[in-house]
Amino acid sequence: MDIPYTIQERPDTGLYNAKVGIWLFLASEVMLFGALFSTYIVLRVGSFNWMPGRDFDLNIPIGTFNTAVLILSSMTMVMAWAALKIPNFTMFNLKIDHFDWFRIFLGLTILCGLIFLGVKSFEYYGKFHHHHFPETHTFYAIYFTLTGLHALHVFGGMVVNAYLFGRGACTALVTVALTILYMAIFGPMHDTATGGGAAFIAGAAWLGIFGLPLGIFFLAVLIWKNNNSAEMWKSNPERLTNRVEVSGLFWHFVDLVWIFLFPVLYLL
Amino acid sequence: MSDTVKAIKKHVSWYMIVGVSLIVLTGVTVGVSYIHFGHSGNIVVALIIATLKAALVASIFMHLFWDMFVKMAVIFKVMIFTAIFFTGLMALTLWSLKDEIRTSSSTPGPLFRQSAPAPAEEHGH
Repeated sequence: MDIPYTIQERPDTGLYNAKVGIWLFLASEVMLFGALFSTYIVLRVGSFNWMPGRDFDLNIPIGTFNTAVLILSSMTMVMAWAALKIPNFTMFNLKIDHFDWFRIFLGLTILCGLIFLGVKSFEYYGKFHHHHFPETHTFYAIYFTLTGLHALHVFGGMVVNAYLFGRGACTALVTVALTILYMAIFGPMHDTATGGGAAFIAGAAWLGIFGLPLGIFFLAVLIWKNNNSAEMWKSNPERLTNRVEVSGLFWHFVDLVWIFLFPVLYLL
Repeated sequence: MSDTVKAIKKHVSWYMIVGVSLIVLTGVTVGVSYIHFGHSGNIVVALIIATLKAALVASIFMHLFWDMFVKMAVIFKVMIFTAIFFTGLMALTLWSLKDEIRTSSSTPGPLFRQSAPAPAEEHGH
């Protein structure tokens, strides 16, 4: 079945359908995060002496670093789209095809997302290790809810981007991300039972037993027979470009949410 | 229009400039948070910078600056609609300040009862 208006503009909206769709979705996302932000405001205003995030040992340099990483990823995401759009796109006078530039930029975007989630899980690990849970304090409740929901969005965006990169990359990414998640959440629980360091051993074991073979398998798939995006680039380049644009719009929105989350949770 | 090849070529340098300025503004946000601007001054300053950054992301990275009025009348309507609902949502938080329980007994709302000192009427009767 052919999906209508994936490339050509729909006469009544003047846009291809996916673009209208993603903007409607982003509107609903504004309300979702808005509801949680308003919860934060009500809790904060109603509190006797609200302490800012830095008084809860939230690490400001780490948070700043993560913000910069996410902004950088937004920049590479829009460059990935521009690389697809401009036929003779190149940088630093390198003789690389513009589809390869797209993959370089998209790869950097995914990498930045991975760094962001890695750093975030490191922060979570520290909190859980010191027995700071959502139920410990009102601040932690809203901190974990907001950053957790945001991290889920980052993860979702990365999966879509990895899919656009290639099917194999997508699955390999999910494997690595689940390992990080495992280490962040279950690591500290192992810690309390067996002592320090056991978490990372458990995480590494999990990665070794399940992750690595899966990763190698999907890397093989990636090299061999992946490439729905490369196939689509040959058969229907405009459709792929539009998919990247839509994925980019979501990714920029996730960046935009973090731009508000960082000062609100870490600094104020 | 933002989607002709010629236009996008021009925009690429904008993406770079905006990316760098967003990172600089992040530094400014952190730096400014160490200066005391009074009771709610810091919140206002931080939110102004954050809004500026968000506007840069939306207008340049999400192309609204080039697209919004020319091409995306539908998106513009969606955004106005969202803005109205978002404003309503934030107005609810202001409404909660006038919460009846808080104003009548001058103690915090029910959420904070546990950590608050016992309300006066419980001693009286």
